[in-house]
Amino acid sequence: MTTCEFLATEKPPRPWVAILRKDLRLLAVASGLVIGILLMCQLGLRLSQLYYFPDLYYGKREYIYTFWFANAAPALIAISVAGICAFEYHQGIQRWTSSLAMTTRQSLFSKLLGWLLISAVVHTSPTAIAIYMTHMDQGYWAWGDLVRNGVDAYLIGLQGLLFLIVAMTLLEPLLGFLVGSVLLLCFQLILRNYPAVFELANQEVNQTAYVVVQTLLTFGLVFASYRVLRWRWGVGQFSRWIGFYRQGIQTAVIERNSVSWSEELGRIGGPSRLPFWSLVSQAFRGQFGLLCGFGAAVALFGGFESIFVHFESLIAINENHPYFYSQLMGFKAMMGFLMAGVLGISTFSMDRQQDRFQFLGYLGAEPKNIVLSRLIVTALPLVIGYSLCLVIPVSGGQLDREMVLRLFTVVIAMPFVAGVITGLIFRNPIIAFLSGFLLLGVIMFTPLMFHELLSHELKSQILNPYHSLVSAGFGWLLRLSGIVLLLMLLVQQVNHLLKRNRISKRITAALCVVFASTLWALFDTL
Amino acid sequence: MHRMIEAHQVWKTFGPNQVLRDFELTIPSGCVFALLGENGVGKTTFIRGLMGYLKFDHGHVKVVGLDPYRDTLALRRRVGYVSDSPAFYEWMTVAETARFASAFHTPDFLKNFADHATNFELPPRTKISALSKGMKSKLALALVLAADPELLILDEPTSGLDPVVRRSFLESMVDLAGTGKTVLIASHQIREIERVADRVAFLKDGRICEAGLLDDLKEDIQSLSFARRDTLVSLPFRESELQLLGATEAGRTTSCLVRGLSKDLVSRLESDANIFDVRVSRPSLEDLYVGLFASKKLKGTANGSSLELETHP
Amino acid sequence: MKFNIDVDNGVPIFEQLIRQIKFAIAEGVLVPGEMIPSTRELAKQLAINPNTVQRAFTELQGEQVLEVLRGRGLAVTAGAKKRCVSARQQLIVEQLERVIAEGLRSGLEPDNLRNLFERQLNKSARQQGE
Repeated sequence: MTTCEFLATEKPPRPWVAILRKDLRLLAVASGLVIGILLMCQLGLRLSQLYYFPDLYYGKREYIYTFWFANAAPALIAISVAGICAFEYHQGIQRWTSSLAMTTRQSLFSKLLGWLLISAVVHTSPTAIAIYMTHMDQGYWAWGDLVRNGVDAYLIGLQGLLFLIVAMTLLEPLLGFLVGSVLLLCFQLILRNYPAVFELANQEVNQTAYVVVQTLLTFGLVFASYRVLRWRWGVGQFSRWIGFYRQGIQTAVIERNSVSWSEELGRIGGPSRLPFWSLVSQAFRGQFGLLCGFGAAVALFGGFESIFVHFESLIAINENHPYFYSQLMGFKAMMGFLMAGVLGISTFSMDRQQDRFQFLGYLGAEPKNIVLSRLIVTALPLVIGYSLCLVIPVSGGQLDREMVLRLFTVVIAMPFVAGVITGLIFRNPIIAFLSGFLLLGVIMFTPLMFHELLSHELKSQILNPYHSLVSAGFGWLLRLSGIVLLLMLLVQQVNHLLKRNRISKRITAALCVVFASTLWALFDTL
Repeated sequence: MHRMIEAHQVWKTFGPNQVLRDFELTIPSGCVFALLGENGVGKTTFIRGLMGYLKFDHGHVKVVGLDPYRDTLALRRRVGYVSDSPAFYEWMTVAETARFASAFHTPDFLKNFADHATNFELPPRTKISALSKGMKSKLALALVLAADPELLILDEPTSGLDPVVRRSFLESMVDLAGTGKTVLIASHQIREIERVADRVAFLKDGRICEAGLLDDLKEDIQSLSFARRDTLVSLPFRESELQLLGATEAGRTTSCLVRGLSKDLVSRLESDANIFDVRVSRPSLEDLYVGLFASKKLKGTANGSSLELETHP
Repeated sequence: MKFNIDVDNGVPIFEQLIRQIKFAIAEGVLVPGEMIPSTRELAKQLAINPNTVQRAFTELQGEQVLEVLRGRGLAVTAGAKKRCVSARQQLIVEQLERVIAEGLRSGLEPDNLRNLFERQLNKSARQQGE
């Protein structure tokens, strides 16, 4: 049937049913992503913790992780809810739904209901299972923990919901995400500074806040500051510079053409080449937004790290505890890693995508010089970061310079090289990004995996701080590439398959779940 | 005549921008009313205020006899609104969108929608994200028409649509007007407005500068053009003799929009030695629009004293 | 019948409708007793305001070109053709008036104008003869 005639015989649904159905459908997709992220976080942390404290949580380690990460679920689903609210508002859909005489109260309440329902599935059932298992085995946790833990998780989720909805709807979504996360962090800090206000806090439960805020901030800071800078400030100024630069290039073309004319006229002089430094300056301007974004992310992150130190000390983890350092260094390593990888990838694949190589080549630049000029620009911040690493003592003197050098090589230089390679191979930045990170994952992960499987006697060596750092960075690397992988699967592949209508949506979703859980199970056996 | 929309002394300010200033408008029922004006003159602001999306700073507004900000829900059930860029859930199909919307309307909604959608040739199982802009506009109109509103408010409904889609869009709008419903339309498509509207209002600087029946306006206001041999010689009339709404000058030719042009004045102009090629014609809506919005000051002299005619008295 | 509405030619739309209906009757495209499309139909077909169509129909009824057949709509009256032919002639006279006024204003002598008219008339007659 090509017309809508069949609709004439249908019965309209009740308003509440229609609203709730729509919100649940939206939230189900979003929470699928959340589950994926949580699984990957859990996996990453599990791997890195395996290296730090093989004996710290004897026995039921995985249940503890399940417990922690399930606790982050309400807050993460709150992000999806806030995202949906912001999306409806900014896209103008809210204007449409309200022109249907749907009230704001109805719209918000159904989202709250959806949040509760999905949080119950994602948070409460795994925690209940974990508690049941540990309770059965060792009496490690009691059922009262479930309640306390749930109250904490849902409270943070609700606060996040509130802050994020308000901030993301009133502000531009990404900026709102940033502001909302910061508000949540401040609010949590205040609450936790006054235990009388927040009696429910205990050490285990507080990990919820830690995980939530950590996850929020990591994604929020990097992406929001990058994009905000690019959008809010970068574009205008930046395009003006590009414009100036284009003019410069055009002048160069004219000069070159006049030179070749003069050649034809039999005069002395070959075709002029685009000077190398003008290529460097072009590359610098091309990457300016990205560099600024990362600069800002690092600066912001530095600021928040000091809050974290405070936060961690509140959670009563000793500052001298190796876990604390490894987490902080894991963050740092991840930032450096991300920066190196993204810079390497984006520079080259973006240049390729926009046919800038061809353009510059047409202007007379040699391919060698183009690549070299971009390498100089993208490696510069890495060199600066590296020298900073050498100057500032890290990890309370646990690392010597030699270790920093090795850290740099593994965490910064390798992703950079991998990024450059994939960036040169793939035109599409997203594909380059994905394959770059996967390539790295394989390169860095394989030896360690064998290490773990084959040589038990080397464990003492693995446990030295350097290895802890690498594997902490790894934890984050895995989380990120896992998320990226899942995103790719869910967004790109699902879309692709659906467009061709070969496989139905449900089968694809099931395949995604199976794939994710296989991955999880695979890493679980390590 | 029953009044569909009444707005008295409406003011609205966004930060330093005074968008609506002492805005007065009455729209009787059963007409196609067009709001005309340049971009950013406050049409969309006014329309959003009518739908209760924003609150006017000051003023008395009644839409279908209701206060838009207080009785928002009741009002939205009776008024259909199509924005310039209609937005729906991209992941829903056309049929799903209709089902979703039907939850908020009378049981006839789906039946009506099926008729309109069949008319517009909307593909029911296509996702909104795969629809073209024209299709989305058609869907928006079909959804609104299916609810059988008393008043239809269209904000730039045909901008960016191709002629065929625009035509079918207009046809259904006219069809609705033919059943006695009221239509308020804000648009830049002058030719379309000229066909479909029976009343127009021109907005300028946040207030209505001309409003009324389109035919009356065209009768009242005349487009006068003449050429001068010597542009420094005075014009044979005084400023007070007619109401000058707008004027443009191109070389020696002056064309202006005037109200209250007397035969006597025309004959005086024709007999003036300095003036030739006097033409008086009935303006088209486009002439009115351009005359009102794109006019400059008319420099002339009368009876030896220098005088400058402003675009508006 | 086919209507052709041009919003730019300075003639009000309802006037254009009236003229075209009258012309159609004078030409014999519409014959006495034939039904005219309803206001709503015609408005939709031409995408013009229904009130405009209504105004044209009211005026045509006043001139006894159209009449209401109860329960069925509007039809062309029996004596419409005669009235329309004379209305058409009236329009031609008006157009001629305008052309002559334009010619005189452009400085042509009456004799010149008459010659021009004769020559054009002969040319058109010959073309029609062919």
